[in-house]
Amino acid sequence: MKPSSLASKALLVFMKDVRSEARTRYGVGSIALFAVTSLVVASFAVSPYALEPDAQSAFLWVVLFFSSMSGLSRSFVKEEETRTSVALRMSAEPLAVFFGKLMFNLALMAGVEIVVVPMFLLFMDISPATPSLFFASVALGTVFISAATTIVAAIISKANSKGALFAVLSFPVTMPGLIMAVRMTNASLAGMGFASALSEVAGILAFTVILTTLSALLFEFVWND
Amino acid sequence: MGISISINDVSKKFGERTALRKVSANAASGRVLVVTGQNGTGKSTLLKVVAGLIRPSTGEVRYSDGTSTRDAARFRDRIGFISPELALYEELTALDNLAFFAGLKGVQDPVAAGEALLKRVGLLDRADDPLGSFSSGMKQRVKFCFSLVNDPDVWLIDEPTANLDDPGKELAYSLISERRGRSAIIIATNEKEEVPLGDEAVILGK
Repeated sequence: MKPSSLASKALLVFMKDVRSEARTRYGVGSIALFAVTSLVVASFAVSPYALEPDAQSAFLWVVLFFSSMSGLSRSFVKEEETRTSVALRMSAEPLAVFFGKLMFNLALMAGVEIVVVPMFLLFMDISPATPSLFFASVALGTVFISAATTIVAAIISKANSKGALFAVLSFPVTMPGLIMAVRMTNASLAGMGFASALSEVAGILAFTVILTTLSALLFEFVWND
Repeated sequence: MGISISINDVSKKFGERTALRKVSANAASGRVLVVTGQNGTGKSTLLKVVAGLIRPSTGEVRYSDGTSTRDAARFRDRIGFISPELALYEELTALDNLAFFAGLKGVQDPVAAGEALLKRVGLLDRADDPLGSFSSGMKQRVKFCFSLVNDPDVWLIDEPTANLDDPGKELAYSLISERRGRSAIIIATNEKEEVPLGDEAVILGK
């Protein structure tokens, strides 16, 4: 036996989830389907009008938030539904599972956004005035949503009405970070620089760190009970 | 050095329902303890308590090295557990499953360990097939591999011959006899013919 570090075990959980997802494509399928269809429908609906930056940024985050709601809970829900969680509990410490799932959710969202964000810019005919701030807002918002929803997914995986509960519980947890992400995106589309969005950047980072730390501390109780 | 298990007055309640009532037993290192009884008498619950998967309502399970099931992190790598309530990843291959769990349990060469166990249970030629394509008996054989992948000091087996045909049952019995003398083994079973596998037996009642 060799002593495996927490990081290497978390990486094993992440790689296992990537391999599972590659075979089933359930998570990426449901997230991408929602994101692409809502983008296409909305872009056709608003095509005669030029939306203001605040409406455009809100629209982007509505699509990304509800897309994540349709797929990010799967990694935990599937473990419970298929009864593989028992084997996982017997084999890995809770923190390795938590960080492995967090990495997977982050990768899943990032993978979908590589397709969805360029589509958003194309369909809505948007050229961000401050591209670096725009992509920073998307990246930080994605990290925040993934951090916030991973612990919620673990909690709801043991409930009966998982789908509805995930969105209901995630909404208040993600609200503060989402508002800041919308403001950051708005600033980037309106042509303001990084300096004008510093408080939002700091706010999202702080919320992400606090949520991740609290989740890591609480996860063992959620996972084992 | 082997580990012995001491189960002291363990009870478990789920709400108002008592699943397990004041059970005490010892499983010495190298010996086999059989837990038997009718359906619903708490055999599986007892094994889950010993495995640290659920907490007892009263009583405790202690290991001879001083740890208890409350210190789950300290003994997780030393336990092997097989149960009808446990499943492996159907979309992954048999070898991927075993290498994954072996890696989590800190086994030096996870792939080699997985291959050796699949060979032992006669499934090496199906190592790269998804588990979802296996019959229930073959899945049970892979679950035996899962439970042994960390060369456990404590081996907990719930319904060892579930889904197994006669050759499968023979394989299960031979695996148990191979580990006799090396691990503390607890078997939970309904099958009367499996009671003699144990050096000692505990009969649970309602």
